[in-house]
Amino acid sequence: MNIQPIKIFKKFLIFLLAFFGISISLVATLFIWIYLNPHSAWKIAEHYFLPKDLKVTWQSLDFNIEKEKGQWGWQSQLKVHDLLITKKDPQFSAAIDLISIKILADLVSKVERLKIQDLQIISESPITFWEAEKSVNENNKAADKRNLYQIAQNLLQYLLTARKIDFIKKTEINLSQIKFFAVDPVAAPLKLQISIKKEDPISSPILFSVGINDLNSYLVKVKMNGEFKLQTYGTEKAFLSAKILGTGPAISFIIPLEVTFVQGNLEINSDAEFKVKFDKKNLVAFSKIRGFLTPSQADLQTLTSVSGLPEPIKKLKQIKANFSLALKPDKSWSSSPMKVDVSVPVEIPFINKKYSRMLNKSCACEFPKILRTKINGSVEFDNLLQPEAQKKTVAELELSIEKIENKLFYLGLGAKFSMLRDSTQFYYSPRLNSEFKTSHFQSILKLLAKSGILIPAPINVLDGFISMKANGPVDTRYENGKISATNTNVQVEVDLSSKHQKAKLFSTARIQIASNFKRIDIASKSFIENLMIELPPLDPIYGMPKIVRDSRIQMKPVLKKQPSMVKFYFDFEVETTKPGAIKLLSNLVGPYIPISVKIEKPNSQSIMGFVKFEPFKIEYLRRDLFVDSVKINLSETANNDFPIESELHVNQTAYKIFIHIGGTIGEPKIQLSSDPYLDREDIISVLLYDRPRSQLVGGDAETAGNVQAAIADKAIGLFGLWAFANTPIQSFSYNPITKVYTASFQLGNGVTAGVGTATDREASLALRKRISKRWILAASWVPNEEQGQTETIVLQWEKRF
Amino acid sequence: MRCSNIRLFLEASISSFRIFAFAFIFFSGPKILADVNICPHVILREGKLNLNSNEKILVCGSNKSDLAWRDVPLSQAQYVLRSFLQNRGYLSPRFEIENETLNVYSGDLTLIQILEANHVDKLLYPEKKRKVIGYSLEPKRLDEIEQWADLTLRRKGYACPVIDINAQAWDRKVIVNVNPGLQGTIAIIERVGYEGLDQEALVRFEAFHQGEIYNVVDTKITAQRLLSDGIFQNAYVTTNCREDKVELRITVDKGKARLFRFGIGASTEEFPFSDIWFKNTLLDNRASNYTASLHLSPILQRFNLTSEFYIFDKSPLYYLGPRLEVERHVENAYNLEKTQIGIDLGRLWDQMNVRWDGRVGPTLNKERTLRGEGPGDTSYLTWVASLNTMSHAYEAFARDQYEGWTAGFKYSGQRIGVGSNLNIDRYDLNFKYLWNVGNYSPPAIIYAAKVGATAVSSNLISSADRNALPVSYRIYYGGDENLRGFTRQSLNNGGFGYLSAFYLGNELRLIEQLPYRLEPFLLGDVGKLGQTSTTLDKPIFTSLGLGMRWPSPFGTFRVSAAHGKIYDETSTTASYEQDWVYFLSFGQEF
Repeated sequence: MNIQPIKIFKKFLIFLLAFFGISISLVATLFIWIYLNPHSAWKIAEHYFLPKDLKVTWQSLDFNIEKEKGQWGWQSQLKVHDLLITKKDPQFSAAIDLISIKILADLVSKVERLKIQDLQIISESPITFWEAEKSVNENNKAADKRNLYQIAQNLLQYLLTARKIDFIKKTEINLSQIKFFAVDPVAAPLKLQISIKKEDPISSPILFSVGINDLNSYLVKVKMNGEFKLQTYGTEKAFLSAKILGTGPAISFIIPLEVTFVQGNLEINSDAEFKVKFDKKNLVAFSKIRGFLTPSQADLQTLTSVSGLPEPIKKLKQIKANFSLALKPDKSWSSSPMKVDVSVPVEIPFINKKYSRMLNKSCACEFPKILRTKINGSVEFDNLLQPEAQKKTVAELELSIEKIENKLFYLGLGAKFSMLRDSTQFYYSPRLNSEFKTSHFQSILKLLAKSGILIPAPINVLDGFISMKANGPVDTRYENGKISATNTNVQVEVDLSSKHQKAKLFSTARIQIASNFKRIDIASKSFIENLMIELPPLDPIYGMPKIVRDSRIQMKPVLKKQPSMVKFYFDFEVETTKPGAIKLLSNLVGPYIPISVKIEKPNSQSIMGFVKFEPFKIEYLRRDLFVDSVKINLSETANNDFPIESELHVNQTAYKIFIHIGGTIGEPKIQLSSDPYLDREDIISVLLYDRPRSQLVGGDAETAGNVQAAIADKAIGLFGLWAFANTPIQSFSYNPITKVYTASFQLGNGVTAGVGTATDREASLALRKRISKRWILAASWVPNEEQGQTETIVLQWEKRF
Repeated sequence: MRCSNIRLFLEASISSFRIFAFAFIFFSGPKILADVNICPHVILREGKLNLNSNEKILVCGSNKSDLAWRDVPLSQAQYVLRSFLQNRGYLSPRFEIENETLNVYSGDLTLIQILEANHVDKLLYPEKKRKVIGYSLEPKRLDEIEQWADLTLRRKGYACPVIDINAQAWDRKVIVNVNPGLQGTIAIIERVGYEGLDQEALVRFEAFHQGEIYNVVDTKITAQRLLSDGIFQNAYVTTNCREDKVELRITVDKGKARLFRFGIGASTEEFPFSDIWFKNTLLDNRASNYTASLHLSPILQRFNLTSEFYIFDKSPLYYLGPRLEVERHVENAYNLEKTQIGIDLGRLWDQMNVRWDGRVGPTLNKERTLRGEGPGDTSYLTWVASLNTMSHAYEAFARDQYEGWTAGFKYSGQRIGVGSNLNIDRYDLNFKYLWNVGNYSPPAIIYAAKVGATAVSSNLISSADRNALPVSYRIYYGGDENLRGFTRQSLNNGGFGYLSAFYLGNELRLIEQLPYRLEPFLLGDVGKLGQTSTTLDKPIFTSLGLGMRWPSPFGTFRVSAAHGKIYDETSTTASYEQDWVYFLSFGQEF
């Protein structure tokens, strides 16, 4: 017998026992030390085992173990208070008030040795995520090569496993503030509530509820309630039923979901309802959604109807949209693009039966009742999502609207949109192909008039050609690699005429839309080649009718304007191509008023430029007034007035009277001069009576004086001055106290007319009525010492010498 | 006796209100609601709208236009009509287009409910502005409110106020935002067109002085005076503000010096009459002047030569006024031929917003009474002194008779040995006050009071001797000027006239309550007359009645009906008729 091996075995056993004993003691000591010094233990773990940028601290940690009464099991509960987790890449910080896990350990049970009875994560403090630093190689970490179907299948496998495990009974996650700084620095924090419950019978469904609230109520509150019935998985019955409710200030929706998995195909069905409030309109959309996911194909089909749209299109029906994507195994996105096919039938609202009949009658024009509008194209996800895509087309879409072409007009609307990707940059290149033209403007006007669209006189009698084109590429601007705006050009050509009128204009407009659609800039440039418009045959003696409401009267309280979602900025330039290209036809002037303009409003500044009247002659009441020049500067003064420079002259019998008007339209400064020389008073006298003061009779002299006083008091505006320069005045009375004047004019054939600032009130001032050149009917008012005042009516002949 | 008069007054009042009610119904007229064709395709279904020729063209189009304005689209007509209606106070009109016809419903007039003024504590009193609350909210009304605010401030020295009017249709409120600026003092008076004239002498026309608080009324009065004197063909005053300093510029236009007028006309006293009038307005650089006039009518034929010579170098505001008057009166009580020649020392000036007119001088009279009581042929020398005053407010708005006062004192007398064989003194005092009750604008009620007192003292005490008393010293009462319940000069003491008199007249006039600016009034006069210069007799003469005033463009028409009544009658009043007396006058004010 060899004793040596036994000794060695004994020693080994002792060593082994000692080793185990020491090890157990060490482990026990370690556990006890960890239990007693959790912070120190965590620091060691943090230092040696966890990522360097991860920091986890907590305020207190409670751990209790209790034996289940009458059972072979122990129930332990771990509570961590005020847990703070921070990480730098990706950067986030989470302050969690409480994590509580209740675990039941049953030594006897074969099924549930370890079961999480209750899991609670509660946080009232913010959990913040920052935007991750972009890394070119980030996609290299783990390229997931599964396609959509495979991902879905994997997820479903997890669910099936969960059906067997069933180790969590109740879970509640309540996070009060989740902030995503990466999305928008001013975005409101979100509140997230997740609740999962599973009743004891293993066959019972898993009930879940997820709620996401925006704390400032700017966004939509989303709540999803549903249940997984894992027993129906693989059958024709839905294994997932859920209802997603969204409510928000501008949008709300209800999306009921039924998901089935039959014969390896996943099918999603929903009858969704969306409501959108937009510009005081309530848009409602009903959509039947069907989604199919097979190993080789992903399809999404929708059939939608929308109501509550703004005029003229109130509703859209039967909007069909198909999105179809081929899938290849172990390839996240196949090289085959997703096909997009959207069809929108648009009902033309103003072509109802009545107008259609009328148009058919007048021009035998046929109009489709419904315009078929299509969006076709493809989206290449492979190019969109693969890590290194160089100048690859990501999407190509084409909008085409059924062309309308008839004897009345041609309307073709179309647009193409393609998106390219170059590495991390995306480039968009839209292209428009739209045109409207008509050679029968009158018929269009009739059509518009029937639809309640006002085309005012005298434009409503014009007929001819109008063309609007928006063809060619839409420029896209980029700033810091992002689209800042898109630009497109529109050309308008007008060539209209009537018996005496003409309108030949050419205009281009550049429309720039900001990438966030919050700003639209329109810059137009118009050239007026020939614009001849007839003015209404008004008689100035009756005054200019006020066709706008007096601005002093406000109909509604001025409310603070809600900031508009979209801001429009309109810059324009209008220019006549030659002097006097605008001709205003009037019964008072011969042959017309020629006008040149150059008006511009650049870079959203105020209006600049001028309106210039070229020489013309006003013939009225047997007098001629020559307008040598009138130039109105459109740069507003501080008082919202416009500077004016004007030269006029009147040829009286022996004198040529020059009237220079300076200052502003609201406060004109009038300078009078003459050839041969006369002083101001004599000029007014000549203007009014064709002779200087020395030859005036008393009443005329007084009238001339009143006119002078009114001009000096600035009571007479430009119109009044024109009237005095251009009309034979019969009488004029002026009240310097009220600054009110009344004038009467001889219109011929014994007819007189009065103008003034208040003709009815001031009639009492007229104490002298001219009967003829020398004879006056006057009321003389004589103070009488004995009887107060006496008054007499005298038919009086007067002469000064 | 007293009861019967109260009853009479009540009856008169009730009658007057009946007349007013009738007038109101008559003038306001029944409201006929019928469709009105504005043009063939535009029909006014509700309300009232009168369009002028130009407005009609913009609504209906015009045949004067070949094509462009021949027809106006209905939707355009609707837009234009909306503005026209809104500018007439119909702020919520309604339109319907039916069978190519535009139906117009004016809706109700929007009536102003509140008038507010901001930033003008104790300067503007909106509650005193009439014809606003309950009246239509339209531009014309806003102009009127602006004028009221402007005039009120400029009368209080704020020469250049900035006024901004806002009207709120939803609560029917009109807000007057005012920046009155600083109260201005007249710093500079610039005179333009006075070349060759002594400006110092012509200051007599000016109602304002340097250093005074500005008042727009004074500028109007000044222009009126400058024009009415005939020196100037036209005259106006313009205002320029420099913070609290106001610069006034008087611009005049001298006419030719000699002014000749011939006229034929009428007045209530004289119908018809003719006037030949000649004035030389510029005898020298101080605008000394003389006027010769010949007036011919059935009751008065008069030649008058008056003059004002500003000859005092050190006192250019004083004048000497030689005058000659030859006239023949044909009155009910007497026929009289009279010649007067005299000379006055006079002055016109302004102080304390009052116009003062004083003159004194001798007059040589030659009188011959052709019919009635009075000396047959007499010559005597009288001294006449008078001082008349008139507030600027009265002078500026005399035609309206809304406010202000006048007062006058006149003495005329003669002495034995000084061109006369009689001692006679006559004193006349008169005062008239117009009170705008409640100080509304325009006034609601004007209360006018007139007081007159006359005393004649003479050595001819008894009535029997009074035959020798010249007619101009005798007091005759009755008529439109004083006791309106008695006919003209019917209270004449058997033709002898009285030697003392006291009169208090009252009038209560409604302003702008009836259409066409008709102003109804109630009147009440009380008078006492005396046989001696110092004692008034027992009888009290009263007149109660009502009337109507119409300030027409050519002068004021007044019609009144008053019942004369005498209390404490004596034998001397037995012959006086006490009945209703009716007056229609032109140009006569209370």
